[in-house]
Amino acid sequence: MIKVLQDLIGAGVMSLIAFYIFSKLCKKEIDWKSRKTYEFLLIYMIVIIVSYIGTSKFFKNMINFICFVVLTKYMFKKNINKTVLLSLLTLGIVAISEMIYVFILVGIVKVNAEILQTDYFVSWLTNMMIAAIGWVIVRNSRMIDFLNKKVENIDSQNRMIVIMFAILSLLSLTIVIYYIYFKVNFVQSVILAIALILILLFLVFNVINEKEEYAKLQIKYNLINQNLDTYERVLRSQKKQNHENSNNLAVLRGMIQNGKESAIEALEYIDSLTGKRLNDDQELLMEIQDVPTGGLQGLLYQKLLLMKEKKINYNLQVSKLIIDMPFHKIKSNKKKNLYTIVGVYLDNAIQAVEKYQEKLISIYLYMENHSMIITISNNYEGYLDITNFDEEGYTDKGDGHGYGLCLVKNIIDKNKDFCNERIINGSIFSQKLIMKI
Amino acid sequence: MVSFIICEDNKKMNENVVNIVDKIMMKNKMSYKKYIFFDYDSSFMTVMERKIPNKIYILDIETPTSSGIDIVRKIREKDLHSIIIFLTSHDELGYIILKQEFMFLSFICKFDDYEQKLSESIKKALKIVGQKLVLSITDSGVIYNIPIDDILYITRDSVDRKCIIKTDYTEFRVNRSLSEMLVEVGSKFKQSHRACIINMERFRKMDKRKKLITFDSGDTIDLVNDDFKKELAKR
Repeated sequence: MIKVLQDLIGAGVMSLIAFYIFSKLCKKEIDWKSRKTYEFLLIYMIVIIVSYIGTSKFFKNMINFICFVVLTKYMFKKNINKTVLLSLLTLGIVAISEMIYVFILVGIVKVNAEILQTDYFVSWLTNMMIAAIGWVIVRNSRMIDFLNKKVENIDSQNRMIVIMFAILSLLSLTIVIYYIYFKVNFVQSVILAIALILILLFLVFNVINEKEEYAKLQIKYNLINQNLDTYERVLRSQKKQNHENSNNLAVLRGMIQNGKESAIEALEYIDSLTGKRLNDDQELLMEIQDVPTGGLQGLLYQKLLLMKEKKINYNLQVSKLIIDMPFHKIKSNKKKNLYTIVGVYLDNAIQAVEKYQEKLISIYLYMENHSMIITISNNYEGYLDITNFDEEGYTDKGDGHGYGLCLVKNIIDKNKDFCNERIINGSIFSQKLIMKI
Repeated sequence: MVSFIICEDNKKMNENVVNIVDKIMMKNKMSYKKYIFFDYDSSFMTVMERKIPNKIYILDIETPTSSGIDIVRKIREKDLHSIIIFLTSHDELGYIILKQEFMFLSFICKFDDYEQKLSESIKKALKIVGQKLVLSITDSGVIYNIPIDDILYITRDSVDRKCIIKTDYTEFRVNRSLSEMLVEVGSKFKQSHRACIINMERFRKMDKRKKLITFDSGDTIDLVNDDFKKELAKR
């Protein structure tokens, strides 16, 4: 009878202190008027008694823990991760209280440890003292704030990791306590060891995986930041350029208003702006006469003139069918895109070959299957890494470059009438633009 | 049998070309047939599209109605291995890039000892006619047409899981297995190592002690296994 009473009181005290500690950790006042509070205390009390009597001492903690988690989840309505962690902390504080008491009693006062189990009064006192120590511990508001903050900041999506960590901690704690106090059954030890290894492996792999994901996210965000930096630089440069263009256009306007006398001056001014003095080339004019007029001819003329200046060996082939093509019927927006793309391809080809001793560029215009095709080819030296060509900012030409092909890709992606191909014929690289007419 | 497809709008020039072909083939044991045209008309297109083996084209760069380059482009769309010799009255400098781009055998100026140069080109063509001249691969959206003679060796990068095709001027990385490449490149290549196949036409020597292969370009590679050494010893 006394034993039963002792068990009931002991369980009741432990139930109460666990409940109290949990409520302090999650900073919630206990509602002593609520029926739920007493339901919790009673159920947990029964759980403690049943686990203590009905199960092996070794697994008592595990059962207690699981039931405690379920009850506190129901009672305090926190998410499962936080409930598990707070429960772990609660039982941890209780275990620490128990350790402190046992240390004082056995270590300092030199009481025989077996009395704790056999003497009812001592046993009852033990429970009360453990509860008191636990109460003292959680009176430390700084510690409570610290632990509460740590738990509240946890926002892990991976529920399993949190639960596994909790189980691992609990099992480790159990081993420590029971190996100190009691002789442990060999079979139980082996089962426990296997369980620990499996949980540890699971945790290691998951943590590594999370770190990897985090590292990838870091790289992604770093790239985004770099792109934003680059974009800001481009914006600043474009702002400056726009400002300059406005000024230059204003100057030209003034010159045009002055009449014919200023025309030569205006041309000279334009030449100075583009940074080169281009001389009209009659031979070149003959070469491009078959190229459709309305912008494309002018663009090619300018680029071929530039190639001549840079002593680039070029070849222009214009298929006879191109001459009969109704270029004037093409919409102006489509033409604008065409000029942009061809301009980029030609600029890239010129910039690619100008550093070589042998500088070769060919431009080939022809018609096929109701499409106009322009192929721009150039020689190259060394390894050509085509995979990154369309990436914004990718260049081997220094700052301010690397946007042309990205711009081309954007145009092609948004316009079904355009598509491109890249071809390598030995040491010749070709960009082929196909435009549906 | 070798098929000569000749197109030259100038009658006299056309006759000269045919005579040169006949003269060379008389001394040659190979049987041959000539298809003669004066323009890139529909009959020419019919012959061009027909699957005739061992074609050698001798073409004029420009005729009254068409451009030779247009024709070559159409030829190359379906046939990378036929041999093309161009006759032109223009400056050759501007055509250097076209020669590489469209993989002609040669460009011959009509006003610069063309008979001698044409004879040499035809003899050169007869040595390689019927062989696979170009390795053609499409990988990651890029079309690679690599002249077989430019390739020194092909190895496998086990980290990137790509084949590396090493040529005189660059290297290409493609998503193919070495065994697929061995089928593609043909009999000129031998496997010197589990991870390497080499172009025997470009092979110069092997240092057996260092297990080092040297190519005619001076490049070297040390991927040699015992089987290859034994095979080389038998030759």
